[in-house]
Amino acid sequence: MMNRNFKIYLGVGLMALYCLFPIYFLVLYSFEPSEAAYHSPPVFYPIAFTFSNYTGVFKSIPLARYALNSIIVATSATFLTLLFGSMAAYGVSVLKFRGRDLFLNSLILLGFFPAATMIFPIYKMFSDINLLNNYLALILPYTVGGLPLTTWVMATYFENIPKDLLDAASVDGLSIGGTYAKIMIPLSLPALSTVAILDFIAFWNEFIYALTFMPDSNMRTVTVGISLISGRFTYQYPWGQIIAAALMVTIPLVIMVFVAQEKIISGLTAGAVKG
Amino acid sequence: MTKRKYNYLPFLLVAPAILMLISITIFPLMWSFFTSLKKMSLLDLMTHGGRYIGFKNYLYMPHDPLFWNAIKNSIIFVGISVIGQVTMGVILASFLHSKLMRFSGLYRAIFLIPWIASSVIVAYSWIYIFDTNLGFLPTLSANSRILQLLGLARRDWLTNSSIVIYVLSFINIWKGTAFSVLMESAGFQSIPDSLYEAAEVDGATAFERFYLITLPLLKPFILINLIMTTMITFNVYDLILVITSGGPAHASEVLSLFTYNTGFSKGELGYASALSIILLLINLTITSLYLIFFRQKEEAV
Repeated sequence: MMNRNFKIYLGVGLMALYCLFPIYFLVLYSFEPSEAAYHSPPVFYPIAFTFSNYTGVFKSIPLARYALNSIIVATSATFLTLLFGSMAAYGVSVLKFRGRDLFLNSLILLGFFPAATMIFPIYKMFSDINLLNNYLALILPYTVGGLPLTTWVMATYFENIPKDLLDAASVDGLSIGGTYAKIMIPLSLPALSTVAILDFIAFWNEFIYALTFMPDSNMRTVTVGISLISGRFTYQYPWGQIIAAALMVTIPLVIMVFVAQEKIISGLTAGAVKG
Repeated sequence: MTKRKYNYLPFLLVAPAILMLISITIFPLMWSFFTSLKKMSLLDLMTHGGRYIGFKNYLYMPHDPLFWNAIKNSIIFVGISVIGQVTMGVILASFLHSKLMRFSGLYRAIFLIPWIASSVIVAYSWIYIFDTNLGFLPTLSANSRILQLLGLARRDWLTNSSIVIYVLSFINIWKGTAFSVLMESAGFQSIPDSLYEAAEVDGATAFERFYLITLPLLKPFILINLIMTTMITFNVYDLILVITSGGPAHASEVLSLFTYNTGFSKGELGYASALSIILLLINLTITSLYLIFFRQKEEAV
């Protein structure tokens, strides 16, 4: 028994090492002067501990401004996705209407529209209506990108809410809108918070749209801002600062997921597997 | 009065979602299709220029060696990534599901990290390992006997055109494994423990239990996982864009990145739009397979 236990821990330990190994180097080098990365043989452990990368990056790029851009875009898009997605899910699941299957199936098809297909026409459209470099240039496409999964998960969740509860609500004279606001939304908070976290992470990390639709350097999101830090030549790149910034903008997401991982797993698998 | 409310309200609730989808998906898609029939450059975009050339962009595609190169790279990238991710997913989920395993919540959270981190951060993590000047492996290769014996002592992981696509597939497996772990965890949870207990009573070995109980019952989850990972991986290009931009000399240019580069780097918007339509058609085919599979599963239930 002991032997089997040991094997499993060894297996999982190796797997955890595999997941964390590359990140370990990021963390290590973020506390070293930039030259440390060029040491030969490479450094496995801290030698010259310094915070200068973490403080220096705020001088090299307007990281606070980029973070603000990311927060505005990701929060607004998450809010809109949840609002429109849960409304649509309520319409689809509780008030059965003609064409609902068509609607749900087209949602899945739209959900997998490749970004590489959508990027040219959206760029063209936003440049025509002067929306490039506007927060909406990211909020709108992100919302559309998040709607399929959100609607799908919420519809599955709503369908499991007991019908009796809704009948009781209508006997009590609650309107459809009242039922949505006072019963459906409070009851579905666990599902809503799961999708909210998943959507927020996706929007926060998105790279291609943010790179293309926000050409103005003040409007960059954190992911784009970090990827565009550069020195005059590759070997002058402030690598230490780049990774310090990269770690700083990822830590909030990691904390979020550590706290909510149980919920995320059940929410995701409900959407993907039960369909 | 209430009856009439009931009739239009569902549409009112679904309306915002539909309006957004039409204005930011369907409408732009139509523009893409019309542009794919034009010879049009990025500069023509501002002047509404370009001229219609019919289906010439589509007809040129089979004669474009870079198009076939991108298809080949996509097949390698998707094939290796999908097989790697699903295999890793099954193995990891089986560890996590084990009854003997404590703190599996913590481990699960650790496995999620590569998946939470943005492609840019994943890219930098691996640049630190593979980059010719900066990377841990190349700097170590001169001094390490072990690496030399394993044949890993080389500096050109990201600059050698015959291996770069495999290195990128490996990185993508690392990032995507978490998703497979989640799906397969759900699969393991759906298998009743009583089956294993009965098998144990019958004296089945661990291998027999895995082969005769776990694998058949996990099959639907593995299949869905395969299809979904294919759909997702086929559209991955931000990771490659940050690490190699498709280079050296197009050696790591997958179809979606080729489409992007054709439009934004070469500025051939007409041809890029035609490519993007083909990309969409491939995606729709895979998604339809997924939907058909789901319908069969529902009918079986």
